[in-house]
Amino acid sequence: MYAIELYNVTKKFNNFTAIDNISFKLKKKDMLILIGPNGAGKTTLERLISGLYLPTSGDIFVLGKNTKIFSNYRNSFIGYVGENYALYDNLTVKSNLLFFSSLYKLDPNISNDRIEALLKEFNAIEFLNTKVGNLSRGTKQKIAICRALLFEPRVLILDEPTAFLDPNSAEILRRKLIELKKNTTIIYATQRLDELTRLNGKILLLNKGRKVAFGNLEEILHILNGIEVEIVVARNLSKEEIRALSDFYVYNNRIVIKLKRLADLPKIVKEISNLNLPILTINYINYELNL
Amino acid sequence: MNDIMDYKRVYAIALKDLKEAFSSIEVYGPMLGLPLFFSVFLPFFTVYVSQYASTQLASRIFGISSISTPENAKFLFIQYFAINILGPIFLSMPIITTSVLAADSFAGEKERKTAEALLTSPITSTELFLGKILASFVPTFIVTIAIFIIYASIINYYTLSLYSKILFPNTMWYLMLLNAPFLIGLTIGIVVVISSKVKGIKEAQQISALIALPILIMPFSIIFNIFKFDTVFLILLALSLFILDILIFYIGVKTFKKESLISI
Repeated sequence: MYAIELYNVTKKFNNFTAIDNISFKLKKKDMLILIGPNGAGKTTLERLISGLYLPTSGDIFVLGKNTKIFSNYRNSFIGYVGENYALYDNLTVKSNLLFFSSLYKLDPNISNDRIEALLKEFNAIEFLNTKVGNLSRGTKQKIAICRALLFEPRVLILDEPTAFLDPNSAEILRRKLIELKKNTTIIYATQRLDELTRLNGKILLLNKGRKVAFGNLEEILHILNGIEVEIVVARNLSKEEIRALSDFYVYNNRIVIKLKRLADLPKIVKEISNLNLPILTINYINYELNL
Repeated sequence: MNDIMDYKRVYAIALKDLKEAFSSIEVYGPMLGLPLFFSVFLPFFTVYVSQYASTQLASRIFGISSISTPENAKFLFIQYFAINILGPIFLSMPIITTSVLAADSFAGEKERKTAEALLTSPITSTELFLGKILASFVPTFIVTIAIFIIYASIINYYTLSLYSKILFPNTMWYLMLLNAPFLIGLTIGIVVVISSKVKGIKEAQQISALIALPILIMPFSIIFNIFKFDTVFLILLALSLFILDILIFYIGVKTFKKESLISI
């Protein structure tokens, strides 16, 4: 049985087609990463899957249930973190989380324990009794993630969840997602190419509401034009080394390379290795789509 | 596929909305302040004006030729104003002020972009609507009862000390209070439905203000003798309002679209 099935899904807002005839299936415990430029339709697609939008045509099934019945159906299996934090500014973090745990009918004792555990995990326990309106965007994002994880959803939908997180918190979230993958189907929208390598899921590349590609990282990277790659080496580069790599943008221990084709990458990696620079990581940080 | 109504979830929605509203004095200040001010000011005003009522004036207003003393004329004046004119005004005042709360119910969620998490939670449209209505209904009803008690106590104090009689409670006011929850429910129901369909809080408030106007028909219809507010009329009115309450709630739930609360 599939966790998520989309059949010829189109979503129009008046005359604007936000999602254009998309179909795909996702197995249980799979992770789908939605990637695409601004306006590609990532948020709309996530809202369609979560039942917030109804498709103009086509059908969406989540754990076998058509999203068209969600409006008056007790949907208790989707955890959703949208681009807005959807938290109540006048209430404290605790009141916000307790409110949602009461909607999910969690036992109050279990709720309190889970709230504390999740906030501790995301380094936000100190804000337990702070009004949400007084928090930074990054902290609000952490609280919104905690809210979605509170009831251990079977399907977790996240819309650019690391957009305002500091690197440490983003890493905590990624580790948590890898742990959750054992039992949860995850849909994760991002504009950051580096997250594709870190999360290791199936990728759906969207552009102007259309499905450009659906596959693994290698398949997707070959479709992209103009990929920006950041290579992190073990030490800061000397002046001579910087001069030797003058075609690239270099700062501290990072080398940023603009590739026209992914196939050019091995040659450059070899060139860097020849300078006796031990490579720590290769991150795909940006891309262009000329479709 | 409809699930059985879960009142704990309804209560959770209402409690959350109330907590939010009562965390800001800008919201609850006018909501409580205005009716409380009038519940104190209007009885004093009524008693003050009644002191100028003469037997001739009272005879002309009430069509009674046998008003023997100026004290009787003054008492009749207080009785007429306190029960017939100000009663309906009292019923409508909390509704007007707390409509602000009802206007904010859905439009506020939309404007503050908080609806996404709520709408993906295990809550049905029926529970959501009922919770939103309850959050506005409870303070409105409490304010209505509170201002009635304050108003009746002040009037009773004066009539007892001046004429050795008390005016409240009486059958007319019991019947007025019987109508109160249904009238409050209807107004709030309409405003909540509007709030679920408009783009923002201001729009909801503007349309709600128009809704509040017909409520004022009640006091004016008494003043101009359009309706005779007797026992039968008030019982029939309560029944009609009850049916309208259910109808508005049904329309609200059936026409509710999650999409309308999500900004594109």
